Amino acid sequence: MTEPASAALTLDAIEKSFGSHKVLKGVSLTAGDHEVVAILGSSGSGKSTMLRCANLLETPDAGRVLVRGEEIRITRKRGLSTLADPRQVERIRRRLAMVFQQFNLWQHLTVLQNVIEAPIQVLRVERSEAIARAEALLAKVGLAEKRHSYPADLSGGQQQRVGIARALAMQPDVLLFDEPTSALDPELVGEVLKVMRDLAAEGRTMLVVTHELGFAREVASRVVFLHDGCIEEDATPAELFGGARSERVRSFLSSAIKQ
Amino acid sequence: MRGGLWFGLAFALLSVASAHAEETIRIGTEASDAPFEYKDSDGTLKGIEVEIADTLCQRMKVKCEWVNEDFDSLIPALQAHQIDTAIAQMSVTKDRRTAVDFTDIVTIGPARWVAKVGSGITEDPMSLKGKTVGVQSGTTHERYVNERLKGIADIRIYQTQQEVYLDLEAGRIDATLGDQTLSYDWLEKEGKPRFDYAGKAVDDPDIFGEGTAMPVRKGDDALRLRLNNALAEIIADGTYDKITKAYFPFSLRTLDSDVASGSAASVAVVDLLPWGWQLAAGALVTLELAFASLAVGLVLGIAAATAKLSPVGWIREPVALLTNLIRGVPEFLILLICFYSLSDAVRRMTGAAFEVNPFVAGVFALSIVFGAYASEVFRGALLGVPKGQMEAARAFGMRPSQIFFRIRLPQAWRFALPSLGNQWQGLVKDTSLVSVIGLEELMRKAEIGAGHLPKRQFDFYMVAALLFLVLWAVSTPIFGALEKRANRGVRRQS
Repeated sequence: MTEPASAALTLDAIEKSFGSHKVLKGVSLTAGDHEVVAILGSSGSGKSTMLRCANLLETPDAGRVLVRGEEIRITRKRGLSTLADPRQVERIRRRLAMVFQQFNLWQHLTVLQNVIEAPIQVLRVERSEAIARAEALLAKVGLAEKRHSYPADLSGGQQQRVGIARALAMQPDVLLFDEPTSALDPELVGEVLKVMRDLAAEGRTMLVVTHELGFAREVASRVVFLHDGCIEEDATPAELFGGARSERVRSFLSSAIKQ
Repeated sequence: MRGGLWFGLAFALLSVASAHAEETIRIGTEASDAPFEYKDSDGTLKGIEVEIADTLCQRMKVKCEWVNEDFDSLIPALQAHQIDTAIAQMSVTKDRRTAVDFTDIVTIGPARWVAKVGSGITEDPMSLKGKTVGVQSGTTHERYVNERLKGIADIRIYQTQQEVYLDLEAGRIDATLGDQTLSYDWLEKEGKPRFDYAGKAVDDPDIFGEGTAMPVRKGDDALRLRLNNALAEIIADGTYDKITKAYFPFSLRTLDSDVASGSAASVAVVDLLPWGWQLAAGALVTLELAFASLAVGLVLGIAAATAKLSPVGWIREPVALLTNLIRGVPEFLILLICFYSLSDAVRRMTGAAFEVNPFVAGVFALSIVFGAYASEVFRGALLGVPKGQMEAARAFGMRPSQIFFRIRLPQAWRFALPSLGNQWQGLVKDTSLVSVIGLEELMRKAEIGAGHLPKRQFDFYMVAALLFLVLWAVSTPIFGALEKRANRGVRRQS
């Protein structure tokens, strides 16, 4: 594990409430380079919110977010948290690419246009270069021939693979996956997980919120278990699946496996 | 903000109202042309045109002040703001049009042959073959016989019309061509029953002009249009005929209705082609007006919709209030408010007489109305774009403006276009309102044409209606294509 100061991503004592409901009660997490961190937990435990705090889609009420040692400046006034510098946040987001549960592919753009949009608009990459890179990425996720299709004409698994290609096109330091297979029909989950396994094998740094225990056990370098806004356990897959210290984690795992 | 808005509205309404209250219009004339305008023995101004103008003033609810001038001084006096208009049998000519604007035609004083009863002479030049005709020197009638009867009839030119009549009575000439209204006097007093009009009025606008009208200062469209509207009103309700029929048995507005001779009124052969071009030119102006208003209106609508979706209360609320106000007021009223208050504002600032260009005022009014309605359409359409679309863009570091223009707005078109198509239809039709402030678009051209040729009113309005339908028919497939494009990427329902 690398030093926190130079870690790809560090969350430090993050708190977040929606109204009177406190979703995160001071969670900390560090992802070093080439680490694949799986985030497990039952619904409502705060795992998606934690991921969304990492790229500031949600602004934490308290705590710090550091990307490669650079702290995101958040101002807190009269109990309201705001991002102090939108430009800093935009710059940080380029380094953290997100894959969404509902894919969120831009419906009015073709597959290729979806993949080149952010590199051209945000990274100011030359169009021809962006296209060349996008076509390589689409080939990598097995969708080269679909590049002129619209998202609505693709299956869920294909859309999510485009979503991954779109994230990779940003050449990010960290890939954030927010339940990438939860919206998929069971028979389509495999093709997406395969792409994610390949990425892990390449040494990509990944934060993966998931319900796929098999993926967590086989691919993750660390597993974080969240319960009710707190980190219940942070361990290697071998430790966690071999016999978790927490009773809560053990019962979660056994009930999930029975299903 | 609210206070300022109300003050502005009240001010605009007042300025419309004050334009009509206690207003005096100064009308110039030369009171030496009986029976059109003359002074009777006790010095009272009388005559057909005096009655017509007084009636127009009543209809416009203004006070008329008569100013007696030499005919040749009327246009200079108008330009020097000593009078506001004039009525003096002033023919509409190309030369005068460069100096002043004219109302619609007030009278046509057509030329008409006078000959011995039973002469067989008519308005047809060939009916004068081998005859001897006499006309007064320096008149349009002289020009007519010289240009149209050379080699057909024997032409004699006289210094005065009185000499012409003497030779006609003596049988030295067969016919004379003169102003129908002027020869009427001679026929009534001396000519009848041996002499009478021969044939119908001679229709030759190239020589005789379009008729007479009231001049106004160039660009004084407000007065010109109010006069036109009042004139159209008194023609439509029969007041005009009542005034003129007290003096002449024939119409002063048309060539063909001939009550005196009792001949069956038949439609004069009029060349309609130039009118067709006029209407086409009007349709082009309508199209320009509609497209300009569409472009400005779309920008306003999108901007207002964005403001109405703003989380910031002091941006959202005033815009919501303003668009609701605009939607609650008739388009017609908004147009008048824009026209008068813009003109008024410029007048106040510069101190000079000023009327806003009616095209500009029209685009201004139509686009704020279009924008107000479109803002609701866009608001709904922007809300219809799933939040995840914008969130994804945000997560990739796109800026708010990039997210709006590249992700949200392109997808909002799909929801907005069907309603916008309907609004476009409304906009094209609303352009006709701008005719009241003097823009010569399709509707106004049709009105002008119908005013000139009252027998053809129906045709003018039908052609105008057809042209509006053509605009509709052309724009429908364009919107269809746009909708198809906006729907790209949407799974077709099977």
